[in-house]
Amino acid sequence: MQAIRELPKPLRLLGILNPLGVVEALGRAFMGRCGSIAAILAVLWGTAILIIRPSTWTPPVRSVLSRQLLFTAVDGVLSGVRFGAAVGVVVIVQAAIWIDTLGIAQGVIAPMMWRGIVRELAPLLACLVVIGRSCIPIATELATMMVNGEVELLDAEGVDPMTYLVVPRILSVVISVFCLAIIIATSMVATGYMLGWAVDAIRVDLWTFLEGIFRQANARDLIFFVPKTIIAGAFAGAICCIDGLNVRGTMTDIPRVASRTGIRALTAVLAISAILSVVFYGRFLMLKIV
Amino acid sequence: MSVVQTETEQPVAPPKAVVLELRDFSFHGSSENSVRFTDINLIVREGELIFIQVDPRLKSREFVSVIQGLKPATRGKVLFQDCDWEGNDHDRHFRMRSKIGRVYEGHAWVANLNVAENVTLPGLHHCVSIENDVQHWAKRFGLTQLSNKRPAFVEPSQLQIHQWIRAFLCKPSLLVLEQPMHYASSTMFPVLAEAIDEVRQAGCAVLWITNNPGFPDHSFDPSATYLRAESENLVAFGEGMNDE
Repeated sequence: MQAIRELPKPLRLLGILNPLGVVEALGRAFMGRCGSIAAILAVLWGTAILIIRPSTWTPPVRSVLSRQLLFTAVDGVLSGVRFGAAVGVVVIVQAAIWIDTLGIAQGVIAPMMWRGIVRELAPLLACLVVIGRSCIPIATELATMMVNGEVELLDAEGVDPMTYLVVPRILSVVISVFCLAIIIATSMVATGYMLGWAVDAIRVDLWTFLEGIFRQANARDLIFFVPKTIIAGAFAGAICCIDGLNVRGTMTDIPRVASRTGIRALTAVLAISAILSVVFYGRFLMLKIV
Repeated sequence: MSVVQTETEQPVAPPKAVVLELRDFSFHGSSENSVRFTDINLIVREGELIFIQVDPRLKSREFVSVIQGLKPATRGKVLFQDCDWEGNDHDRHFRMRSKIGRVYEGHAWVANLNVAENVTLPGLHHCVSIENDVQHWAKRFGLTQLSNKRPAFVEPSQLQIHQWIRAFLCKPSLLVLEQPMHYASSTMFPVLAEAIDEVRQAGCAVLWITNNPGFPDHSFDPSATYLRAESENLVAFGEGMNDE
């Protein structure tokens, strides 16, 4: 402290703030994030390798995959439809408001809905449904298995926990996000049309409306939709598996793991969504109507 | 350092293959009630049966996990069929473990699978077909069929018998039985002993860990070796003994 007091005032302030400490903390946080991303990528790489290996697909692994798909995708359909319907209403209400405010033609509703839904909303909502319904339960289940010694039990039986626990869960999350995104997009378009038609915001018949949508569709949107759902789903699945299997301690640590997993998965999905949008479309305003 | 050689004394026949070897092995465990060993050597050959008697206050689970390569030894080597558990060749390790049948002391079940799924899980994962094997061992241990209830809803004595079936499936090269008679009726001992004799005839080595100071009378064929875990060492206290 004596040495710091002898420094000129600006340097003294820096000394008290300990800039090296701040840099060290920032560096540590950055390296921690890099480590987390490396762990996720390593798990995804291992999963990809195991998925294409025929010996992975033993009857118990197939059974886990089918159960997980039933829980994550099939049981999530109703939630997805409800979410889609609700957001479809929001989108059409906003579209009607902006049409009135800006005085633009009604014909822009279909392309606006299509782009907003397929490019952004449907994949994001599907991820939200899957994270809320499945990723947090997956992390909780794996953490419970870890704490109870069940993962070691599988290991002792010669059953690779990566093959038996992680691979089917990540794959089911990926498939579920992709399928639910399609269902949610359909639900949003259907609800949006019905409500818009009911409140006279859309004055064309269904086929004309759908034709307007499909006319706007291009290969780029589909190329964007597929990797976006797959990458976001893969990251969400990997995060919940890693968090679940990294738990150390007792049962009381599990709720903390569950909440942290939800936030981490959500953050990852939003970040991936943003990065892919910028990379694919090369701009920040996604809903710009051409 | 103690050296316990459990070779069958048959000068005419060549020595049988070594299934499990603990070489200069030390293990101190992570908890105070874990069974401990310092600088022991143990060789278990095909068809041998070795009883290891441990203090009732001590748990053997961690020690068996070391034998299976799930935890590292404090010092020394554990060799299963001449292969160690070192390195990152996890596929090889899982293949090695698939040849070890184990009856666990303590928690032995995946809670969200039913008992039948638990029993058949390792078998279905490693073997092509296990139906006949399951039927054979279920019948042998007096069960008409495997329980379809979750482990939490099955009584411990039945769970223990299901553990036996799981351990015997897929013709293991090594059976590690931790307190296999725990919860089980003593009337089941001859049934288990006969099953053990049968797999030993097929070349399976058996390591029976018990904290019971006495065993029910049974003439194992060929005879068993009795060791006691004492002062972090293994001490032979009889061979071919069936009565204490």
